[in-house]
Amino acid sequence: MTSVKDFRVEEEPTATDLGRGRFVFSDRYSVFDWGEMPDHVPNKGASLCLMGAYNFELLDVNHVPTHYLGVVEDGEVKELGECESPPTEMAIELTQVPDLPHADGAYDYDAYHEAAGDNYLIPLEIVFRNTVPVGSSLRRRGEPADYGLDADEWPDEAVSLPEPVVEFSTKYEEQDRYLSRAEADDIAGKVDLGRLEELALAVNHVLTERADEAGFDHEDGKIECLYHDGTVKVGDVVGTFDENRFPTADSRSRKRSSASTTSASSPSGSRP
Amino acid sequence: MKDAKAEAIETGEPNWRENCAVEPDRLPADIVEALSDLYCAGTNAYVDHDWFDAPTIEDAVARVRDL
Repeated sequence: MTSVKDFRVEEEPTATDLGRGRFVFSDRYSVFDWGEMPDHVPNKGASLCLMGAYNFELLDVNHVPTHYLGVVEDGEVKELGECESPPTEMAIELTQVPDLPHADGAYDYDAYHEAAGDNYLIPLEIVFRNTVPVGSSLRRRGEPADYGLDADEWPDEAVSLPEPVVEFSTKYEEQDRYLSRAEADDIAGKVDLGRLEELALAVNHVLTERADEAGFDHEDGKIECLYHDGTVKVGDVVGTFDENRFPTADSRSRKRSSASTTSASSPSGSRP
Repeated sequence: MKDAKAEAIETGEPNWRENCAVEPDRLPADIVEALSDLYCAGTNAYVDHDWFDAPTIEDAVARVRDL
């Protein structure tokens, strides 16, 4: 699927060492499952870069390891606070992303991990949810009681989860799918699934708190992680309006059903 | 799109988008502007600093809702 941010290598990763790269955030937007749309939305790129950087810096303060190195302004890598205007480029550490061979309807994760060694992008998306809207696919994967809810059936409105729920899905398959714990553990390779869950919950906690202070709810989001030499770090970008859903307090009190403000406007739409 | 996806699942063919007949349309200018304002206003509110010249989040949300 087309990405709305461009990616540039400054220094290639090696089998053992992380490299350096850049995310360049564009004003393009894409719709879930199709790809890029013809329009550009002014300042979208800067908005996502700013929010992503802000969240990475917040995670850093909270001792959550990430691949973030800073943002780029006038060719220099700096902290957000040192910028004069909203940056559109972010500096990050880079890891290896081996090929994921696909033959006879099956993906060869063994080959992926063989090539990955101790330095790789974990080929999973780790989804965390705080609420379950009406359209959520989570409803198909379990009953309310499975998630600590005191109800026999899923209600006709969005429901808040007593504890955040973490799920794993593939990242590199043509039709990405949610995974059982065992499958996810396998695909994660040498990384412990519990560690990924821990990071997802930590990120969720930091974002939810920030969102709350700013007058937003935080319904759900996802992270991607990399593994390098014993350490798991949060990768990609975290907590932006494209990746997460942050309904405003206004929409929260007026509408208890599924559509949040940002899923109405965010072209990436609702989280399945 | 659903037919193309169903066919892809049947045949195991990964490139189903090429089989879709419909192309996406461009959005009207006022929708694009409202979206831009929403991203900017939302970011200003979230990071608690007016990095962007944008309406308040309440106004930006109201505008999108009115579309």
